[in-house]
Amino acid sequence: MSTASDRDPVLEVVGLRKVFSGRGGARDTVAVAGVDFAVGAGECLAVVGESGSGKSTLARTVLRLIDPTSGSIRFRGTDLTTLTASQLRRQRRHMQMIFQDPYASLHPRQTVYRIVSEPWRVHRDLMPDDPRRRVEELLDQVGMPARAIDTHPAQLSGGQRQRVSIARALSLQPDLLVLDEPVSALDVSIQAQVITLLMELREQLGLAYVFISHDLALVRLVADRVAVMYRGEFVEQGPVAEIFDHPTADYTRSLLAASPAIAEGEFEGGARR
Amino acid sequence: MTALLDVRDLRVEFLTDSGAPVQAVRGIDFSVEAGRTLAILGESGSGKSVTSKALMGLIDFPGMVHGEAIFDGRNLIGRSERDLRHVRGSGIGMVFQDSLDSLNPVYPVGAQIVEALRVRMGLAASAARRRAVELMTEVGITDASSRFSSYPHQFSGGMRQRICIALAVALQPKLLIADEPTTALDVTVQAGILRLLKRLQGETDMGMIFVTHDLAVARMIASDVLVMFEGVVVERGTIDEVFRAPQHAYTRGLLSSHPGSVSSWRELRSGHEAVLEREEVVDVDSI
Repeated sequence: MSTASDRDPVLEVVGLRKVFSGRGGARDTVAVAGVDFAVGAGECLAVVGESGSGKSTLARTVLRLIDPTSGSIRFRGTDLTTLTASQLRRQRRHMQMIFQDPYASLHPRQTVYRIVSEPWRVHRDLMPDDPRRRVEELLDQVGMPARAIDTHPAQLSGGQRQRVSIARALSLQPDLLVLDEPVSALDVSIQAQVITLLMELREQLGLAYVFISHDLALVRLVADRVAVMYRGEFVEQGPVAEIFDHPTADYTRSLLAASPAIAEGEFEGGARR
Repeated sequence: MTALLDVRDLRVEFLTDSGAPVQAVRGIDFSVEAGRTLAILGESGSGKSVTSKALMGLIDFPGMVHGEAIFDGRNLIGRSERDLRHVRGSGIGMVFQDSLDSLNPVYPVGAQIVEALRVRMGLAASAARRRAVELMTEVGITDASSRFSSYPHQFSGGMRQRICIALAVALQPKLLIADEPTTALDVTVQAGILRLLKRLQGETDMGMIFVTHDLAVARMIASDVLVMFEGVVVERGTIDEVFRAPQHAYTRGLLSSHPGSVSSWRELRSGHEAVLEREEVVDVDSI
């Protein structure tokens, strides 16, 4: 099984583990039980799994929003696990995260201008000469009208909020986006627009994506490779067509069988596919 | 065959402080027959959940419900709460997306099922207990007699939702209204619950209204479908007809925006102008 892309990977994760220690005599929880993967520039790796599989912990650990218990996370050759806080902050501009719930991930009292320009207040050396103009450009890039710049999140729909989250992530010109269920809170027609935007940005900017999702139909459309996560482990990973058409792990087979399909055919309770 | 439920010109509006009431449901008609499942399909704000709540008398002031919903020869609309209590349960059962949170946390789940059976079906304590264990087994809870005394927090979300389905079908309703009952659950759990509902329906010939935003789930569970958009029905028919040859632009757009309907993300945008317009109209104009 090939876990690395042909080119030099943007991100290379080896033996990553995250154990949450149990309190008051409770057992430890092994959320991520030693996973390996790599993502190249312009590549989209999807991580699929059900609740409790560890996929969101994995997403957070990769960016060191949570410190891993062991293993290495190499970003363009630098092992993030060994960095000090200030070194890490300098690296973070290259990797950004998009969260599931655009109602929770934007500050309700800040304007869109403030939200999208906020990263420059942390990474001061990247502050553009005319930040307002640059925010307008970013909004345009994510398909938002320039007049949205002075609005608050409450005035925006879920899809528009997620576009603002994407604009904020792009403000630091990252190489890698970690997307944790980026469209699962959105209506299906809005979901289609946001997915189209994400895929176009990936092509234009050569971004690498780690795309966390439970939606297999969506993953089939967007991912180059897919890793199937179950109880903290990757039960298999490989090119998306290969895994979906010829799954080797029992868990992948049962996940595929349970996934609702829009295509013809009576529901057989998992016999199809 | 006469319909189990016959809805005519159902309208729901919500009064507002600022004058004009908001029309959530703008006059819809449909009927449900025994043994069939009608999916009410739509996106946020389409009025699908308001429709199901109106049928069950769960719209409170400032919401106003007009029209007719004839069930068992009587109109459900405008009946008193006391009156409706006799219809709910044995006539119409209901399961919601968040039903799993509506179990009483301080009583064992078995006791909650027993209570319904004793109060509503008049069963004796021992018979009610036997039936409750049977129901828990039917909804796929393994080792039901030992889980009988477990509390809701000792079950997973999927298992709690199964218990709510057991509660809903315990009184053998003629019609089950299920509003996004599997939306919060994992796909493997969802598949189990949909299978379960189909099996129960086969055994009791109950009619079902299944409210969902998920095209693929509607496809799996329903025999007929009603597509709602902004409070009106834009399309109806058997599920096969509608999915094979959608007539309305909105339905076509909805189908082509589903990731399962296309082979590349580039095709996702095709043909849903109606939907694109909607987001623009609703929000950007209010800026």
